[in-house]
Amino acid sequence: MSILVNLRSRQGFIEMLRVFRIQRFNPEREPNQWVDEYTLEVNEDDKILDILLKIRDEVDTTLGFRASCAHGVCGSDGMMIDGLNRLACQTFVGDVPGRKPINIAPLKGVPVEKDLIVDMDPLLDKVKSVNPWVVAKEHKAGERELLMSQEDFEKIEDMTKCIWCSCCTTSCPSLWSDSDYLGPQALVMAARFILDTRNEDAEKIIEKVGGLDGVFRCHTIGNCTDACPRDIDVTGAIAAVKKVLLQGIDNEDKFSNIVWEKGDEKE
Amino acid sequence: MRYSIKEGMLSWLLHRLTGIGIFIFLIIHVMGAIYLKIGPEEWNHHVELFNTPFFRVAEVGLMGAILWHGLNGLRIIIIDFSGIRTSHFAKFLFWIIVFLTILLMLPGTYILLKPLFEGVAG
Ligand code: HEM
Ligand code: SF4
Ligand code: SF4
Ligand code: FES
Repeated sequence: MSILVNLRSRQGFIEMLRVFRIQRFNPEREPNQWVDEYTLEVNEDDKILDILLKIRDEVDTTLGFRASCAHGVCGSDGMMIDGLNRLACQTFVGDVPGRKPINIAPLKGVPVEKDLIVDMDPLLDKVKSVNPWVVAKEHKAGERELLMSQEDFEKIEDMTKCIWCSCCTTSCPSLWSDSDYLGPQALVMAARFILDTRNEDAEKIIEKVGGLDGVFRCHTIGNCTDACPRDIDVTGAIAAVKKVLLQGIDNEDKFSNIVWEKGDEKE
Repeated sequence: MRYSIKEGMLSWLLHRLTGIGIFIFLIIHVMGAIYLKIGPEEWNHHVELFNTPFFRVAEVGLMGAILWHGLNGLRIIIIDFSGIRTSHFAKFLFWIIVFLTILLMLPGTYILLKPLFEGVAG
């Protein structure tokens, strides 16, 4: 199906036409998979999310996708846009240069439920399976909060920014070929709570991520780091866990040579 | 709709292809020693094969595969163990090894292909 829509009719704007090719899926239809093309009049600074909303509200109400905050905070609108995983609310039309059609497809490697909506449960189960929380055995309810030094926090600061969008895990070729692989999202969480000095149960996480479906399924490809909308050094976090597995967590000295270089923003 | 192949994924695809390629080559290469058992004539004929234009060109490919695999292997080890933020650094190293692979292939390619142009081989 191909449809031409007028996204906005404001005067005096330099408008352009762009084609949006959206991968559709409906389990109740035959065939259940197809591609729809919509030609819209857009501006460079329109967000992909605005365009999806426009299409759903005014052209095709059956288009399915998830979104909530529209500000890159909730992590619900991760999808593959022009061949890369990103958040629809943080990607602009101008981010896909030229005049070529903009391909939009659901995240890969997980079951699709409808159109751009995938089943996130297997991904979230993976995160849960690494025990991503602080266990403080001696700490009693009502006591003051547990503290950690600024220096220790800086080691994990990067990883605390994760918004659980799963853009990383579903960009990973290792996950595409082995759906049991824990994947970068769970491994970032693992790294974050292994390196958290307040956690007394880090050994449990280490045991889990050292297993057959753990960090050594990672081939240092880096698709995950490229995909992360929060600019987290995902591959670096996984590499840090690999190091912990090889050197042991009690080895404080060697441990501290995990350097987190700052200010090196990706493009 | 396909996922874009960027530096990281390309280097990994090449690494796997070259790894498997080198492995298959080594198996066949070592199996070649069986001619020693069959007889000296057969062994000599087998060794002569490597002097043919086809094998000389193929060996340029083999050299490229081994160089890529070795250099990219070192690149992966450096990324995993250096602790430097990965995205930019990994891409920078990718282009470094592309450059090194081509640079190191130049003298080998010259030596392997020179006889072809002098009409000595074949
Ligand atoms: C120059 C010496 C070599 C170095 C530095 C090297 C390094 C590596 C590294 C670091 C990996 C793991 C890559 C990953 O995590 O995906 C690897 C994988 C592999 N290597 Fe090598 N290697 C070398 C020689 C060889 C040779 C001689 C063979 C063949 C007999 C070979 C066959 C393979 C294969 C089949 C893989 C698996 C590829 C994959 O899982 O994607 N390597 N190599
Ligand atoms: S670096 Fe590891 S986790 Fe990230 S995409 Fe590559 S294989 Fe997957
Ligand atoms: S690490 Fe980045 S890409 Fe992965 S889930 Fe967290 S925010 Fe999303
Ligand atoms: S809608 Fe919340 S992150 Fe995009």
